[in-house]
Amino acid sequence: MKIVFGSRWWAFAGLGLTLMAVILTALSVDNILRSLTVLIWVTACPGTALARRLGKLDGLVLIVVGVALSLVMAQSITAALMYLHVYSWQVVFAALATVTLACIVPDLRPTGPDGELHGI
Amino acid sequence: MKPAGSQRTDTASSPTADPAQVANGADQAAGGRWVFACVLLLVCVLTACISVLREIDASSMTNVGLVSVLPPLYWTAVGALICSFATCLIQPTTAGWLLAAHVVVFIIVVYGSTSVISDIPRGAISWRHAGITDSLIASGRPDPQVDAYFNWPGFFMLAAFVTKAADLSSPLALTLLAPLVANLLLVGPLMMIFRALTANERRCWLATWLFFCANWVNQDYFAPQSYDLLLYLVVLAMVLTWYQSKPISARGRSPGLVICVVLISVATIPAHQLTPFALLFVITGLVIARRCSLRLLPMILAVGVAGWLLFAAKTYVAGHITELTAGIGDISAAGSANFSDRLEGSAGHLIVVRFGIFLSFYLWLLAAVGFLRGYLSGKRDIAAYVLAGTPFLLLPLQPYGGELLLRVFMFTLPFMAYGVASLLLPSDQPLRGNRRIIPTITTVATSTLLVACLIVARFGNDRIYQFSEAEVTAVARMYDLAPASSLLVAAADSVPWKYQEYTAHDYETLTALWADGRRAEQIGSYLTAEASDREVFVLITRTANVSVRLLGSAPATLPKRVESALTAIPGWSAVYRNSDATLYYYTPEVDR
Repeated sequence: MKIVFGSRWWAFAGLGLTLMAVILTALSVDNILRSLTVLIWVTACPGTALARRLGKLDGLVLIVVGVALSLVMAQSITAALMYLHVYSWQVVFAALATVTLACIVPDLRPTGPDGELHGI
Repeated sequence: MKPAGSQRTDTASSPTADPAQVANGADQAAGGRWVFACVLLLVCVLTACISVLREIDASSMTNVGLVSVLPPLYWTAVGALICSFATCLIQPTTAGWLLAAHVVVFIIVVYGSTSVISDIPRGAISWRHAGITDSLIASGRPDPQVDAYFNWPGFFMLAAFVTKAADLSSPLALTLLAPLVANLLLVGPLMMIFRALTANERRCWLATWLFFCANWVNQDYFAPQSYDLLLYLVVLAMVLTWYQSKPISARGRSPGLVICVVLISVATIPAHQLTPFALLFVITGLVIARRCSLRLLPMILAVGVAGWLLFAAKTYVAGHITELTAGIGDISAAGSANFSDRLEGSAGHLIVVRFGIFLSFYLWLLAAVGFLRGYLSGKRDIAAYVLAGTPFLLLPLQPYGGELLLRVFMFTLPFMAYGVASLLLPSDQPLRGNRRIIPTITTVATSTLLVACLIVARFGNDRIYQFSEAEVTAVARMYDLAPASSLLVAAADSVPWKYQEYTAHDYETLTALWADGRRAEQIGSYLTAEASDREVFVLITRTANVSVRLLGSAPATLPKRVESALTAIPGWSAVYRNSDATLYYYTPEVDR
């Protein structure tokens, strides 16, 4: 079986980065790798995954909209929890990871009659 | 990435190929060598600039800032980068990635320069913003009673989450590279905007380049306005790409994308006071000019802004309603606050200010000529005219602490840069032979002038932005000694403080006390009286003293005279001293 991700290589990269960020954070790893991974993940992954699902965007447009959406989602969820007086950064992190995974997983589903896995 | 110029599809010559194909094959081989040479040059520029910046001693700057200590090799490298970019831009087949690489290297060597020179975050405001974030992390909620920042806390909330998720020891870790990252993040939205305005890929890259050659206003540090500028440009990029009132692709009509535009627009509101107004103005302008089909967007923004002012920020608005509304329509107050009041301070500081003013007006003049030329030749970029002009309508609304003209410059800069690019590259046709010479020369000349002014204007005040290790140690010592609710006093605002215990103490400066009408001796008496109720610490640092001298916010001798006044009063003594700072503390027992 041949796995085809089309030109959407970032679906796989996004999945890898998300899992890495989740694992490093869950293990409370305290090093530069966790900082860098989480910083890159927060500023790129959740919004990029969501933007692809909303608009089938590509290339520069996807990156631009994705980064902005990532930041806005992180800001909005944090703000909502702070104003509700139930702020916990782990909850924000979990919400963003859920959004990211929910948006990436459909990119990996089988769509072809030949049993090949195709991206969107 | 698309090629910047016209794309040629010729392949290598074959024995049966015609002479034109042979020539094209030779051109392609020469192109390969050209790309290799450019990449080599970029590596050399990067290496040279970083190596010379690492050798710079920030403490030896004069009143014109960084420019006084930059060695000739740095200027040579930046000059080579400008020439290389201009030459690549005019090549018929230069790839977009090569022009992008020039822009990225330029951002690193100019906007990242201060991060290379010192690993201490630049500017007192960055330290203060780290303190606000730290306070939010500690309390878990914004207290609107504290100050305006806590009434527009969106950016600090985001920073608080990032700090905790990345397990950083302090939000200060985010501040050092903030200018570099903020500018790199702007490249994408800028290119998207310019591609929506013109199909000429070469002009898009030139406009992006000119944006970074002229972004002198220092608003890209760890700050809400820096974050909101990114969102502002992304919203405009999405609107111009998908919702200009002209035939667009069907995917632009996706409801999901409309929701994205609205979400990102609304997210600007809780993060910054001014940017949502600028966005409201320009989107309304685009709707009126029939260049935005999202006609409800201005309404949504207006309701959002009004709602935030009336509900979320009501504490601040209620306490400052007179101050907020006093300046509306007062053109003379706005003019003096934004212009004449800034022309004060030492001779070196005045030079720096004048370079900034010159750069701004020079850019605006070139852009106006570029727009006029396009208009007269029938290429009417109505959206660009609206976006370059509408932010000026903010000027009569508020002096904004004398910074509104700077902010207007920032909001208009992408579109002014586009106007200048239209002037330097008016033709959409590929340039060949002798027709390349004039655009190359004008691009090099304009970029050189802008970059020279940029470095003076942007880094001219670095004597009051670059702190020493000794000053940071002295401030840390002050926090170690100060119990909660102390009064912490510095000579001026240029101190690396407030990065912790932001809400735990009261902060004061000698320049503010002097502006309230107190002389040096009276300040000494006032601080002694305050010390009877709470702990008072007075920190005199080298950078703050320079700030008083440079900006002329008080007599240059004020810190020294206050020190003399304090030491003459029984009970005051220096409890900590190093090469750049002295910390005074009042011990009541001695006096009583």
